Amino acid sequence: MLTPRWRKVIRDLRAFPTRTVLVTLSIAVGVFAFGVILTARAVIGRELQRSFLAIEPASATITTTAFTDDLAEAVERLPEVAVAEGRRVVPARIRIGPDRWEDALITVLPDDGIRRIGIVRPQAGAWPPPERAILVERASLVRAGLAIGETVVVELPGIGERAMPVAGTIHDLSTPLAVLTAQTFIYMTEDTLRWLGGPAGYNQLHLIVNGDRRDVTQIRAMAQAVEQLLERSGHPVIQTYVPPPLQHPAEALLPVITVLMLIVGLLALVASSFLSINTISAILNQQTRQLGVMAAIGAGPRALAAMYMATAALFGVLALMLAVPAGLLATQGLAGFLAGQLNIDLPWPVWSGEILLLQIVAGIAVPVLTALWPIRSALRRPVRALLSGETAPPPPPLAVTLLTRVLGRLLRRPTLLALRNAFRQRARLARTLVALALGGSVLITVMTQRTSLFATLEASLAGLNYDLEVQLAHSYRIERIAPLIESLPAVTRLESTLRAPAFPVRPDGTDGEELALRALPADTDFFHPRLAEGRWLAGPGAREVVFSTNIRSKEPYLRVGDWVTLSIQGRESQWRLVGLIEVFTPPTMPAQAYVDLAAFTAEQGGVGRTDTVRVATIGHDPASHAAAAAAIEQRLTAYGIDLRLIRTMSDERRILEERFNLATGAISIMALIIGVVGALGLTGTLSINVLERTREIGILRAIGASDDAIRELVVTEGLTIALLAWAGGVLLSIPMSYALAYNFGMALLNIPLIWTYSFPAIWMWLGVVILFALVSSVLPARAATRIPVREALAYE
Amino acid sequence: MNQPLILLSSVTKAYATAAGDYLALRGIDLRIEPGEFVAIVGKSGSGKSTLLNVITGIDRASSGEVLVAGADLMRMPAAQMAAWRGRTVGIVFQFFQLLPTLTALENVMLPMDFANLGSPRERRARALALLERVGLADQAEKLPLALSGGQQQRVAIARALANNPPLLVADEPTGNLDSQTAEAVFELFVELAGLGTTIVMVTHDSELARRAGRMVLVADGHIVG
Repeated sequence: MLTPRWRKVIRDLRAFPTRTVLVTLSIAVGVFAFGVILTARAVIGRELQRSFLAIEPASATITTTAFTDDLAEAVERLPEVAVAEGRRVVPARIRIGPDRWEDALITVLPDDGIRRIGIVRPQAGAWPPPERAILVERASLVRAGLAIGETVVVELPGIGERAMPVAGTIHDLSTPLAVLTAQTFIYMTEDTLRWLGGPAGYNQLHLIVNGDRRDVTQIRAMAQAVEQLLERSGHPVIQTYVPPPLQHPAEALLPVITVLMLIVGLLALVASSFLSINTISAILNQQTRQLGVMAAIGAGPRALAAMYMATAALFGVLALMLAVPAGLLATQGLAGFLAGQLNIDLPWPVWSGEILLLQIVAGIAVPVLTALWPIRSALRRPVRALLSGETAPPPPPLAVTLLTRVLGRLLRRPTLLALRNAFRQRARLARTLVALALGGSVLITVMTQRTSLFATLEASLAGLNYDLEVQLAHSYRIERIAPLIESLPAVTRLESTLRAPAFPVRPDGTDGEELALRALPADTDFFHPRLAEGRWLAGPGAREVVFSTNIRSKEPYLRVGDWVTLSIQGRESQWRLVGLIEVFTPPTMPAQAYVDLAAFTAEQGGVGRTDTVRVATIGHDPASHAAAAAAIEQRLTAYGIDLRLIRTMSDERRILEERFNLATGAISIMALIIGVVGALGLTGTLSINVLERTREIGILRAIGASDDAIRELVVTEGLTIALLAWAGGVLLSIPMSYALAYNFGMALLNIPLIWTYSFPAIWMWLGVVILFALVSSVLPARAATRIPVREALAYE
Repeated sequence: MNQPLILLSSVTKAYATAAGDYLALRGIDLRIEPGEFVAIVGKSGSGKSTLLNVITGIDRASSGEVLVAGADLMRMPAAQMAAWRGRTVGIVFQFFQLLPTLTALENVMLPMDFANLGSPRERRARALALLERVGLADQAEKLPLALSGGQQQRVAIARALANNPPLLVADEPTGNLDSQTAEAVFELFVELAGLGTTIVMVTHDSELARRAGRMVLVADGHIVG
């Protein structure tokens, strides 16, 4: 049986249902956001690693000339090697629809489809890989908009093309993320590749180290042993790649996204805790006399504190009853979305016992801990003061007094009263403002993030003075290619370049990650990138190199001014690193390297030849780009030129825009959550203010205030708070959006975004906050006009 | 000579105000024997309620000696005061001050709950007996709002008696009641005093005060009669 004190606690909650619902909802939203984000983060982190380990990822990959199973078996017999497997990987392109070509990568699967390293699993359709048909990686299928059963044209540049059906999908977690790459990953048997005109045998050795699979030193030692064996058996090593051991590439990106979400989740929890303080303070204010009576009849401070902490804990329990099931549902959505982007499968349902426990602790601890302060300050007051019910607020600040005095000549008396009312409980006002302003600042920050992303993109693209990039299957003489393209009416001018895969040679003699090397005239008209450090290439013939900024995360030892050894097509040469340029590309993509064309051809040969032509067209819109690309393709094909790919600036922009929408979409949801907490806070504060002024409202009505006047009083008070929150949100958003633009850019794109404050967001936030104020005022205003005068005057 | 239940010597009480210290009590000496029914009278602002607050430990005197039921209230730690008050003093307020979300019965049980006296079953039985004694056993499950002013004050008296305190203190207990109800409440006090409970009652009603066992007149912070 409950004792009277605990019955009082429960009945007090029931006595003011609106207040109970509001505070419960605000705690629930905070706990919900916190729980959803933490659970999604924990589950995704865990499953990404578990899924990645399950595919038996390679410790190292060595690219060499064509070889057979015999060599792979010999390599596997080395004591340093646990597993060695040959693989054939061929760059290709794929035509989707009538005239849309995409970059593709063909991987040959064994006839039974079973790999021991980088295990792939059948997903839908045919399995094992059928003859003269392709399987497509499931994330690629979605990204490219393909469907099983559809026929696509697969082309091996310079060799030939064939129409092939998409027979099924597979899951290959070793491929780069679909959202970050514009490549389609396709799979076929060796016979099918031969039928397509592709080479026989393998060109890559995938290796698993025999020993500690997390030990990079052991892995490098293994790679060296394998390299020596390959060289001895007449297979020159083209590239050795040692990825971060047992780490999915996305694991580097995940912390950035989840830290951001975690910050927003914590902000939501902080905002909701402020509202919890407001409510507990209001309850204590309202029950001042009851506190005094209970103290007078023998309740000690501990007993009283326990009662009000129990009230706070009950709010938490009620909030958990809402937040936990709603959170579990939302977690399925958020985790499912992230898992889709990362191309992993999640066990269903997505939940975490530890986070659930943390949610329960936070759900109860946050309101209880935040209640401590108002409880302590209430119980420190003398019993005499409590019994007299002294709750008189301090006078409004001088600024408000002066402001209302000035405005007194312009505004009506009820409006002035509402202005003063807003400042009567200043601590409560401050907490409400913080909760609401946080929502606004996050909203403006998200919109600023978007404008900053696009501003950075525009600045990045502004340095690219060409419209299309035509990649050829192999190099041709410039005199043969240039006239074919230049004579097209859509084309204004072009520039010939050469590209080659290259590898930085690390101080320990091993190769770094692959670089996308481009040789172009140092005095190019087409490429004026933004410099992050150093300078652009000095002039024709200079043995200088410029890297994109993502080299910093891949080869952190490199400094501008250093001489760098590059391994280009198996030959090592020295280049001075003179600058770093800002390129809009995720850190997981290969770093870009630019060298002077004359210096490159002097070293590598190929004078007067080109394999990549950059083209400027008359029109710069997507339609003009598409038309020009089609015309160039038709012209080159007609003249027997083997094309690899044509990329238009419109395509580049579209791909980047998709990434931005994804990034800003996730944060927008978080902004919405904080916004809801803020709106609940405003409603709660207005309700509490009206409740506390019940007697005052009764007096106003007794002396003739109409329902409209009372309503106006409440709504004006709401609008005053909302406008203050608007200003606060705008101010707070400036450093917040700046910090986000800087850190987001550095973490995901290697460059700080160009901070471009979104002024439309300010007006949108104003609209939102006014809407919040009007909606939040409805309930309290209605309650205020429904209080009978007699009851209001008798209210204590 | 018996030990007095209340012994105040040279008690002063000063309040800090914006205009400087205000002396509400100026050297009060008061002795009340066990079982006495004392009425404290005086005008508004004379200091009678402050005197009552000092006796109940609701307020601490600025100087002097305050001994109540053997306890030295000037030296009692603040943390012990509520527990002492709960067991030693029953308080009746002018505006009844029942907790609105608790029934009459629960309001009476509350002091026993705070003092941790008896089992819940025993508390309930005692609360019912007390309500019976004030003639409200049939209203036990009603909330205060459903009771008349007189009924609420009788519930408040039952609550004040819950822990069987040796001292019952009432601040204008009839001030908010009609004359008939006020008379009934006063009769209840007389009856309790007859049973040995010491009663100290602040009142404006000089007629009722004269009917108490002793009348103490307070003016400007002094006992003047």
